[in-house]
Parts: sequence; structure tokens; C-alpha cells
Amino acid sequence: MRGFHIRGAREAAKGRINSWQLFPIMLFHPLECYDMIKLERDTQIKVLPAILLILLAGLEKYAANFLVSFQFRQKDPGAVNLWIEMAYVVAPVVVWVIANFCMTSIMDGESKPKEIFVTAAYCLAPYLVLTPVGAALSHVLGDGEAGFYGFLQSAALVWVVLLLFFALLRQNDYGLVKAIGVALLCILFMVVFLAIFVFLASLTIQLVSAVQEIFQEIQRKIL
Amino acid sequence: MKRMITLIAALLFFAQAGLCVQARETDWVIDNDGQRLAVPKTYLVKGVITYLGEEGGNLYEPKDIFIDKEDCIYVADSGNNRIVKLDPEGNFVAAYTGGGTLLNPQGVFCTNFGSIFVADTGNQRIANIDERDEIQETFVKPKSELLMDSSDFSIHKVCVSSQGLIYVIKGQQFMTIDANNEFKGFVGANSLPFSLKRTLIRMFASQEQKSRMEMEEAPPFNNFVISDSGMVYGVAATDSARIKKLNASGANLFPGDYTAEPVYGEDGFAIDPDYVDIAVDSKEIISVLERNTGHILQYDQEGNLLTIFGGKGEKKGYFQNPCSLAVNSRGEVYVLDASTGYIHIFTPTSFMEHVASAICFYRDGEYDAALKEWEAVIETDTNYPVANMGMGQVLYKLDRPKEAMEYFELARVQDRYGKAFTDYRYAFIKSHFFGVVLAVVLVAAAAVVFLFYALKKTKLYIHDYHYGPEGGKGQ
Repeated sequence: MRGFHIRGAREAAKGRINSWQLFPIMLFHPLECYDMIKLERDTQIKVLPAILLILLAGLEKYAANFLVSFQFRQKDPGAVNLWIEMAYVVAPVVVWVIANFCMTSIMDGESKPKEIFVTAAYCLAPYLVLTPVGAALSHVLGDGEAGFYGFLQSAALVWVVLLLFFALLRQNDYGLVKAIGVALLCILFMVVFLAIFVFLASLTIQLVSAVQEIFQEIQRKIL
Repeated sequence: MKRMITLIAALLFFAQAGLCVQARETDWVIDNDGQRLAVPKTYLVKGVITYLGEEGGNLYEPKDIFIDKEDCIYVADSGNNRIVKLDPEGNFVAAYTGGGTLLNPQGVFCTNFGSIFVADTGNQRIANIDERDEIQETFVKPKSELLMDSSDFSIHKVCVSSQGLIYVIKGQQFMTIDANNEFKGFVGANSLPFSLKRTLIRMFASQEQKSRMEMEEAPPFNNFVISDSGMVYGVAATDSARIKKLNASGANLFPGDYTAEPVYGEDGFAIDPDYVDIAVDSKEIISVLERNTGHILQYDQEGNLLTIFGGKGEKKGYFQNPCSLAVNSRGEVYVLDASTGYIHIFTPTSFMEHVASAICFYRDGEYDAALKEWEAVIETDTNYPVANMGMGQVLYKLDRPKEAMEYFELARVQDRYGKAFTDYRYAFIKSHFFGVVLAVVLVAAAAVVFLFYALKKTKLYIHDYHYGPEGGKGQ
């Protein structure tokens, strides 16, 4: 059970770890990966690869719309928008990071924003791997085997969610019950956050259009 | 003043130009996304019957039109209390009044043997009139325990099946009466959609409370027709399954999910449709008349929307208050306008004739002929979803799955694409058996090897991290 006690592990670490090595470690030994990111957040861990991973996930989601076989497509490729597809991946991750930081801060957690962000990015690893696999498989699966494709997609999603949950548990040294509680709080926070965001966005749009109208009115009346 | 006249002339000219632009040069269908998709003209106005000559006069508030085997046209001229018969060219032949007894007749039907059945609404009876305008027999409300004594027998539409049963609409279902005026049964009841409120009321309200509440009834049928194959086609004012195709036992055979598509008014907004009449032609193409927009929608037997044409307006081929339609043996559509008393006649274009024959050939299993017809259709309009779908189905039946897949993709039908692909895959594996086996084995082996390599590497990374690059080697 080496590595389970973070303080012990910190002293034992001697070697170096680079950003791309963390990727397979997250897939096969996620607990080690959480510890490494936590221990090395101020030394060896870089933010840029994490940003690239998130963007790559968004790009994969976008590209999958074109590369998946026609019979499994959920959208018409003509109606796919790069930014909207990217937002489907980036927005939940970013909101999760904010929610996670806010909630762990008040629930005596230990993680820092950078560490949460990098961990969340690496937690997308199963999605990054399984999406291309699914796209390739879709070209050999027949109509009776649609279940395999659906299973692969749900498996990737469940795997990512589990990774995020255990990261919360591990990096803050929570027990299982407390971790579940904090995770539920995080989800609640995300819902509220998104609701407020949508509300503010629509208000801003209305404000902008109101200012525009006033400007136009003045322009027509005076000029 | 001169300037004024020029201005008015110019305005009139532009108004005229605007009208020209408004006239549609295409008909349309609704695509998978619920958007209008233009298709070439499917029906042209052949003519309008407005005046029936000295003898016939005008129609006044007519309610129903029927076309018999010989293409003779019968109109229930309700306002004039008569039934009018026209020859296939639209010339007046005779008017029937049942010896002057018909009162506000709203439905008419003619059997293959020439006896005319009239829904004599004002007299609450069905009258069977012969060629000499004599009433042969009348049918009144039959006696049955299933019929409430108080309810009246106000019937609007009547049809007679080839077995000799008389069908009338009784609210949300059809009632059948035999030749002895005996009640035979109800068929094809519409059901009420599920409602939480009603369920709760049923669970908790007392008998007394329930009796005081207004009784909710399922949406009624508006009109119906019995096809040559003996199927009863009805239109009901429901949200889903507006078109029903009932067999003798009353089961609905029409694919219901296709009929719930949005119906758009002239302004482009979706409206609540009011389907008032239905007709089925010799090729089993179903025409439905929508009253609010004056649109005629045509479907094939699988529920695919073939075309939408017509509309409201003052011009030829546009209606004010369309109330009934019928189709003759040449596939010409006759639409009756209740407000003006005009009969508008539409004749299919060659485009539509190709579509209809393709569907017909496909149904009869003549796939090569169907292929030729669909090719002609696609030559005119490559974007027509029905054609791409039909082409895919024909090619699939002709055992050409690869091409079928292309057309199914164009028509955006995923399930059929999947079926065609499965067939294609089977044929491919059959012809390249060893190659496929080899490829599968190689890919599987490569995946396993890669997985083991990745696992081993990962362990090494972790080990190196904990003990340093050299640290673990010696242990």
C-alpha cells in the first residue's frame, strides 16, 4: 500500500516525472498519478500540457462528428460547430475545477487550484483514448451491434467521472462518505453556477442590445 | 400631378413584381430537421369547375366530394339539399334530391354498382338513392345496448365496404351497420393520450364528483375513406397519429410516428393542423387535406411525406375554405371549396408520376422498374429525401448494399444504412475471408502487445519516480 499516505510518499520521491508520462499513469495507476500531481505541483507539474489535453479532448469531440460511421452519428456534420463542440468539453471541466476548489476550500480540503486543474485535465485520459477507438470501431460494427458503440461511449464517460471523484477523495485526504458529500455539493454548485452564468449572459446580451438601440436612436434623431 | 401618376404607376409595377415573386414555383416537403425543403412542382392546376351550366347552377356550401370507379364525380351540395353528379370531364350529369326529401346532405358515397349512399344529415338517416333519383332504402339509428337512446344520429360521412357494411363516424370511432339496419359494432377507437391530471382524478375523486365533471372524449374522426384493398383510412384531430389506416379488426397499420411532423402556415410558423379529408388513389398514395393552410399533403404507405402543395388564396388552385378532396383513377386530385363552391382539379407532373410509379413498382416487387423510375426522379431533384430513400431500398433489395448505403446516407436514414452496412460487411467477409481473419488477428495482437508495453512502461515510470532512474535497477 505504498503511496497511500501522502506525507510518507513525499519523502520517498527521488525521481523525475514528465507531463506525458503522467498520461498512462492516470490510465493504469490513477492513485499514483493523483499523488504525483499533488506532490510535484510546485516543482515538476506544468499547466500548459493540461490545457493542451483539454483542447485535444474538445477537438476529438469535434472530429468524432465527422469520423464516426454514418449510422452512429448523432449530428449532421453540416450542423457541427467547432466552438460549440469545444465548449461541451471545456466548460464542464472548467466549472468542475471552480466548484471543486470552492467546495474543498470550505470543507477543509488540501488541494490547490493548479493541482485540481491539472488533475481534471489528466482525468480526461480515458475519453481521449476511447473516442478514437470508438470512431474506428464504428466502421466495422453492424446495426445489431450498436450496443458495443454505446457501451464504449458510456464506459469512457463513467471512467472519467470515477477518476474525477477519486481525485477529490485522494487529494483532499477525505473518507468515502465525506468525498461523496463534497462531490454532491460540487455538482450542486455547478448547476447553480451554470444557471447564474446563463442568466448573466442573457442579461448582458439584453444590455448590449439596449445600448445599441439607444445609440441607433440617437444617431437617427440627431445626425 | 404627372409626377404623382408616374409614382403610382411605378408603385403598381413593383407591387405586381412582388406578387410574381410570391407565386411559388416549387412545392415542398418537411425534412428530418422539420424544415421546409423545396421539391419540383408535383401538381399543376388542370382547371377549376365553377359553374355547372344552366341545369346545374352553382354549388352552395358543398361539404363532400366522391369519385367512383368510372371517374364520375359526386358532390354533396349541402346548401342546395342535393347530390350532384358530374362526368369525368366535369360536365353536369344529374342532380339527386331523393324525390325532394334530402335535407342538408353532408356526405356522399357511390358503390361499384351505382347506388348512391347519402349521409342525409338533416333527416338523421342514410339514404340509398338509385340512378332514377328514387330512394331505395333508408337507414336510421340502429337499436343496440351500446348506443345511448338519447344521442341523436347526426352523421356527416358515410362509406360502404365491399362486404356491404355501412361505415359511419361516431365520434372517436367508426360504427358499422349491416344491410338490415342492424348495429354490427364499433371499430378503430381513438384513445385519449395519457394525462396525469386525469389519472389523479380517477384515483381520488368520488363517484359523485366524477359525475359532475365534464366527460372527456378522445379526439373524433373528421373524415374517412375505404380503399380498394378494404382498408379504412381516417383522419382524426389528434396530435399524434392523425392518419389512421385500419384493417377489418380496427388495428392501426399506418406508421404513426411519421404523422406528428409540424405543419406550417404561410407565415412559416407551426400551426395546429386540422385534417379534414383523406383520399387514397389506385397506387395507394394517401392525400390529406389540411383546412387551416389549404395544404394537401401526400404520403406513401410507409408514412413518408411525398409532397405538400396547394394553399389558401384567391388564385386558381388556391382555396378559401377547402373541405373535401378525392382522387380519380388518373391520380388527379379534386379539392372542394365550401365557401366558393368551386372544385379545383390538380394533375400530377411527370416528376410526381415517376415518384408514384416508383413507389408502386417497389411495392409490387418490380425492383428493376422501380430503380429506373427513381433514377428519373433523382435526375430532376437530387435532394429529394423520398427518392434517395426509395433508391436505397431498391438497391438494398437488388443486393447492392454498397450503393444502397450511399443513398441511405443521402436520405439520412441511419437504421436502414446500418442494415445495408451489415449486409455489405457480410459479403465483404465472405469474399475476403482470410484477409479479414488475418487483419483481425493482427489488430488484436497489436492491441495486446501495445497494452502490455504501455503497462510495463507505466510501472517503470512509477518505479523510477519513487526510487530514481538507477535506484530500482539493483533491487
